[in-house]
Amino acid sequence: MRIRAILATAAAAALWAAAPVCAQGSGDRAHDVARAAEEQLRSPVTPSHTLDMCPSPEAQALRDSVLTMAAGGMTSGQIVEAVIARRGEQLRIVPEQRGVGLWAWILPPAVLVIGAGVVAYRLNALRRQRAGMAPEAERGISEVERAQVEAALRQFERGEVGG
Amino acid sequence: MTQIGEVALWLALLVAGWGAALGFYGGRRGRGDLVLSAERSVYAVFGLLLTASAAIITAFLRSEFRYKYVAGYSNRELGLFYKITGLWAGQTGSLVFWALLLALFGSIVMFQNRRRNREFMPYVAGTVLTVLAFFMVVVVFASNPFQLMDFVPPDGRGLNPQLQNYWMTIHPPTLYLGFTCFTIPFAFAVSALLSGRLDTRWITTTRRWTLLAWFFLTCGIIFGMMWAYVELGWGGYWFWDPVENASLLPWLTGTAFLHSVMIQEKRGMLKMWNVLLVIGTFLLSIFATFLTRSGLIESVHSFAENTTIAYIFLGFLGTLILISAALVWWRRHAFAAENRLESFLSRETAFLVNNLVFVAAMFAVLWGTTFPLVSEGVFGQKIQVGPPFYNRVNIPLGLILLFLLGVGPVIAWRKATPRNLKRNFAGPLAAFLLVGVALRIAGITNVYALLTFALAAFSMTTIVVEFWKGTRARAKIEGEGVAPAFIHLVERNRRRYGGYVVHAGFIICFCGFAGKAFNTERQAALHPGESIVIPSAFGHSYQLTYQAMSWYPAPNMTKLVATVEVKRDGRMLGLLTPEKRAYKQREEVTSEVGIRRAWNEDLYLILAGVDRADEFMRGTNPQPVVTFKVLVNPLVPWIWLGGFIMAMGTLVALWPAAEAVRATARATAREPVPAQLPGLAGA
Repeated sequence: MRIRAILATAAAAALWAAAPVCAQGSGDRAHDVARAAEEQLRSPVTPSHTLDMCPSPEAQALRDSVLTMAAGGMTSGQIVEAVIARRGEQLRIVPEQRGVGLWAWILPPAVLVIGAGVVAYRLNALRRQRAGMAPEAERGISEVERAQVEAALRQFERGEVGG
Repeated sequence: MTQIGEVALWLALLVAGWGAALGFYGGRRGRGDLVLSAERSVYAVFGLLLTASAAIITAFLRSEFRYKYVAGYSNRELGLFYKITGLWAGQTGSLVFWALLLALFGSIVMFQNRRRNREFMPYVAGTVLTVLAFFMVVVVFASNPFQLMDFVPPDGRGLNPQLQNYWMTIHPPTLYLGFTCFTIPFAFAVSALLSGRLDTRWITTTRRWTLLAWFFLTCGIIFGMMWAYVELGWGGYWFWDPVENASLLPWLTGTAFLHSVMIQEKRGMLKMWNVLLVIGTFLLSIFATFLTRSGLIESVHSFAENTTIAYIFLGFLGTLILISAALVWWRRHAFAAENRLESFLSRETAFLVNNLVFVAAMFAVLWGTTFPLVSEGVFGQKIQVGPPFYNRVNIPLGLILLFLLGVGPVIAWRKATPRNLKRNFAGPLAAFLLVGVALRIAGITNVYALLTFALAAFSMTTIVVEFWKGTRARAKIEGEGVAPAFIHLVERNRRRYGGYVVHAGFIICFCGFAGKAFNTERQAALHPGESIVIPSAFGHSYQLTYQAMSWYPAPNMTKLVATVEVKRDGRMLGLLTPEKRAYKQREEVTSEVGIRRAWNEDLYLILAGVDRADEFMRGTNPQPVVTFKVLVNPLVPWIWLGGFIMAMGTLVALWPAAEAVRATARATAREPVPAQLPGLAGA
């Protein structure tokens, strides 16, 4: 019964999650590539906007040229580099994986790795300490505590009988 | 009224400074009279800030353009609703509003604890008033809402068009409620450090405040996403803007804190870590306010104004960091764990890894947000960091969290045995494999989306099984029906099951995020009567036919409206009317998108451009060519649904059980006033 319920739950979850992909791949490749490139470029007129979200006519013109490049078979990476070569580095919003930009990429995973190392070290230290420090469940209770518990139990039983 | 408001601000500064000094001094000396004065100062500051806020709103309602703030964010034609919300439309008013909310929460805390937690309250009052005094210094000396213009203009500049949206009226207050609410756990943590009471009491006392802060912050973030989705008009809801990131930072550490406190409560471990997390969360809340209001980093949130207050904020942040570090160092010996970790395979480890991932994600977002400043300051080369960076770094971390979401709630405390693991994870693992294989066979190729759906199935199964097991056991033991057993199960342990509901909402949100992998987009310039066809990831397609263009003057703006007929697989669905709006007082044109919502996707239509619009408005170009951008965004509605479920789950966890309320009332009535604070005896 229990296994059947779990499997039914899992099947329902599968159906629930499978629904969105029935027609995957029905998008237009050139539009997808252009969109990916636009997300990696800054708007030429509004610094706080990425190219894909900027409503200005200049951004629209640049998006049109990006779409033309994508329709010509270029990849999103190639389009990004081509636009930056033509319009300048100020349109770049994804740090390069070299030079100063490399720092942007290195530090977050480094912090995660160092953090994981610290946690692992600490856990190991705690486990080593365990040998000299019994877990409270295994430590048992003192004689005084045992007497208190027994007294409380006797009182409880009397109460139960009396009530 | 406005003069009274300005006087109220000055008085609030003086009273906050006075109360802060008395709170700390009275606490150290055990002087109840001084502590009482500090506590009453919190109420007084609240009253004064309420007066100042009312004065600012009055100035907006009366269109008193002699004030720079009113002239900068209002005009005569602005609607009443937006005039009232002018209080938080700009930097100066926002700072007053921030302080007002903090004073309100401070007053509630003072009232709640007038007879309990007396050893904490002097320092809680001192800390809250110190933060209030800082905000008052900024408001009075650097960003005064009552600053006068050199001349009185006939009309104001008007409110930023992007802020003239209903989501924007509730998004900032909700976020601010979250930011300010985190001050209360911070104040209790400082109190615990100063008083040396570093056991679980400060945590249990502030548990509801932390949950409340998290609730507001979560709602604020979701409202902000909704605003971005409907107002910025590019089809997305989150683009890792510095100000968006700023709201996410305290949310990440706050979420880590909500999990790690459980380890301290259950096992007496991670005491220092919890103090550091709550301090970090508060500092990040201040940092978020600083980032939103300083204008140091370019952001789409164009309401940032000057960099003068940025340095005041940085000074305050630096001071807080130094004092907090000194306090933690001073009490470093009081953080000893009461128990030791017994096994890697335990809930403690799962929560520790969860904390590591949350903090790593926080660091990645913080690093990316500040990298333009850091790269310019250190290397002399300003390097921008955009959405692809954050996505690449954070998506893997999000997937780890999604996995832990399924592990944490069911793995055993202390030590999980192979039997325990098998019993709890067989079903979820089966769901993971089933969904993963099914989706791969269905043709899904995006690895992240595949993993998201499979892990969502894994984690959702653990939640469903947890509810099912609990309900079944209760029904058996108590002899109840399934529905009453389910209700009583949740009632008896609201925190646990409320948490599961939050997790379920989080999972649904993640599925919504993964839907982006299946977005489709088309763009075309159409003459009236022409159509554009766009496929959906669900197999059907939409046909949009441009019918007509119209324009008309509306209050405070002129609207250009396109009428577009929408059909799905040939079946008529209705009309969409995307707009361009030109606001009168600001020479800005904004897009209002047309959205057709379904349970599983949004059809999103943007009026990208109108050819020779001026000629159209003059009547010489009656049938203009219009450029439309159309997107089909799968699963976006799930994000809003997931957010709603998360909010509901938090409310379930927050809601006090009836018996707990009675017990608290009894405890409050019984608890004696400590002898070391004799001045409070008569209070």
